[in-house]
Amino acid sequence: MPYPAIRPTERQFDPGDYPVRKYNAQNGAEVRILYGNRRFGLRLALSYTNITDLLAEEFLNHYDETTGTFSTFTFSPDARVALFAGWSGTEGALSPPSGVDWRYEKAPQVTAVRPGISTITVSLVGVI
Amino acid sequence: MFYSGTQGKMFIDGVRAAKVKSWSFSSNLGLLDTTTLGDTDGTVTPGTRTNTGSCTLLYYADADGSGGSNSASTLINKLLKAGVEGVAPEADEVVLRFEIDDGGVITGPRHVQAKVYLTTVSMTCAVGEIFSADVSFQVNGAFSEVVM
Repeated sequence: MPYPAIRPTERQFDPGDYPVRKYNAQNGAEVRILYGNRRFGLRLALSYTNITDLLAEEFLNHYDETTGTFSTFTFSPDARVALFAGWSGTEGALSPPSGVDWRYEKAPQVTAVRPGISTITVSLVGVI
Repeated sequence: MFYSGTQGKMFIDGVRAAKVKSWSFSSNLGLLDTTTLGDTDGTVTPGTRTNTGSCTLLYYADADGSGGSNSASTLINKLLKAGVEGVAPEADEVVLRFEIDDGGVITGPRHVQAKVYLTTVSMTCAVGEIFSADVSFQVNGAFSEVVM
């Protein structure tokens, strides 16, 4: 089962960083060493407010199928359209670079709003 | 046919209330926002309903010094209670029924009925005005009967 193709209510994106180590000399000068050419540690926080319990269940099922925070996954074309709805820039700006996939940073958080309606928040992290 | 206060009746726990000046009720639906990214117009889904109302009853006595109770007294005593040391004051639930008696034979009078808790009792004694009780209430759950 792919990641649910549902438009989120709120999306927070952190582009991560390249593998850089910084050292400071005694005189204060900074030395930076680049250890790789791929950005990692991207973060995508998604909030789905007031959706039906059946839709919320799709996230829980997907989380279970990816063995929680263990396995990585990519978004289907439909899911990408839904996830980046409202973004008028290029989709690539919010996507991980080649070779970087998503995994769950933590378990989806489900809040019951009223019978049949829930709010769910999902936190993803991009890893090499 | 139009209706007015002439056809209006109110019942407190099944007993018709006397000297009712007015009653009103309202049913409000809370909406949950379902607007998502990319939408240009807000969308909603039904949330919970809240039913409230109010009424005004004249406070009276059948004769000077006769004491006894009247409809206003019966109603306000569901909320107005003297404190007792060590006992938590507790409001009583009351069944209110509001009718528009249109003489309907088959369906009976148009009415709504519900179990309510009084939320506010307000009484003001002033020169030139008849002593009365303004009562506000909130329905506990949904209306049990609605014929409107």
